Amino acid sequence: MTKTSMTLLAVACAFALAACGKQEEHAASEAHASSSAGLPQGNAEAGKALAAKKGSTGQACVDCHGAEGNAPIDASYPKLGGQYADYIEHSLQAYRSGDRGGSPTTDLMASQAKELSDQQIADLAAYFATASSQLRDLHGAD
Amino acid sequence: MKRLLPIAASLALTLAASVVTAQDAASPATDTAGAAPVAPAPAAQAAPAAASAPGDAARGKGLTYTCRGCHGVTGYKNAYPNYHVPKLGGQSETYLNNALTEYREGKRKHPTMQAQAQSFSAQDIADIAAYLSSIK
Repeated sequence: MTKTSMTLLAVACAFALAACGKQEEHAASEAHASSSAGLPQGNAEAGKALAAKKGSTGQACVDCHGAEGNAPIDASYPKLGGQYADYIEHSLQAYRSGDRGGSPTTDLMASQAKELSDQQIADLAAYFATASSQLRDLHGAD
Repeated sequence: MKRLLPIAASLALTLAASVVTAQDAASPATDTAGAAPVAPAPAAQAAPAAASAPGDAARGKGLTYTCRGCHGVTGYKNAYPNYHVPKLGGQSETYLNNALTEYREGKRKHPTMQAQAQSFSAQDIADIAAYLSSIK
C-alpha cells in the first residue's frame, strides 16, 4: 500500500466516522431528508407543478411514471412515490452527469434530466418523496 | 435501545463502504454483509436485460439475504455521497432487473452495488427482481 493510498484511507475513515454521527441522528428522526449534494431546499408544491410540465423532450415526469409517480406506463420505469428525496436527487444528478448512462433506459432518463437545474431536481425530489407510495424497505419483508 | 443493533450494523457497513469507496471503483469490493463471495464480472451481455427469463420470486427471496444488510435497515444511508439507500419493495420488476444489470455492467456507478451485482447471474437478477417487485 502506498503512502498516498494510506492517507486516502485515513481521510476516508475520518469522514466515515463523521458520517456515523450523522447517521445516528437520522436513525432517530429519518423523516427529514436533506441533500448532501449541495442542492437547495426542495419545494414540493413547485415540484408537483414541474412533474406535470412537459420539458423540451415533449414529456413530463408523469407521462411515463404515472400519476404521483405510482403508475409507470412500462415496467422498465420505476415507481417514484414515497421514494427517499435524497435518493431521487442522487439519481437525477447521476442521470444528468452521465454517471448513469449507456443503456436504453438510462439514456432515456439522461435526456430528461439534462435540462433540470439543481433547484428543479430538489423540487421534484421533495414532491415525489411526499406523494402516496407503493414502495417500502425490506425490513421485515416476507 | 432496541434500535442499537441496526445502528451498530449500519456503522460497521458505513465503515466498510467507505473503505471500498477509497479504493479503485473498478476493483472488486469486499462483501460488506459477509455472504456470497464476489465473483469476477461475467462478459457483458449484448442486449440489456429485458426480463428475457421469467423471474422466480420464491428463489429470488433466498438471494436477498445480503440486500437486507442495507435495504432492510429502515433509514439506512449510503456513506459517500450521503443519501438514503432506495426503497426496493414493490418497485417495478423490469426496472429492478435493468438496474442490477446496469450495475453489473458498470453503467451505474456504485462500488458496493457493482460488486453485489457481479456476484449474480442473469437468472439470479431476474429472480431477485421478481421477488422485490412482489413485496407489498
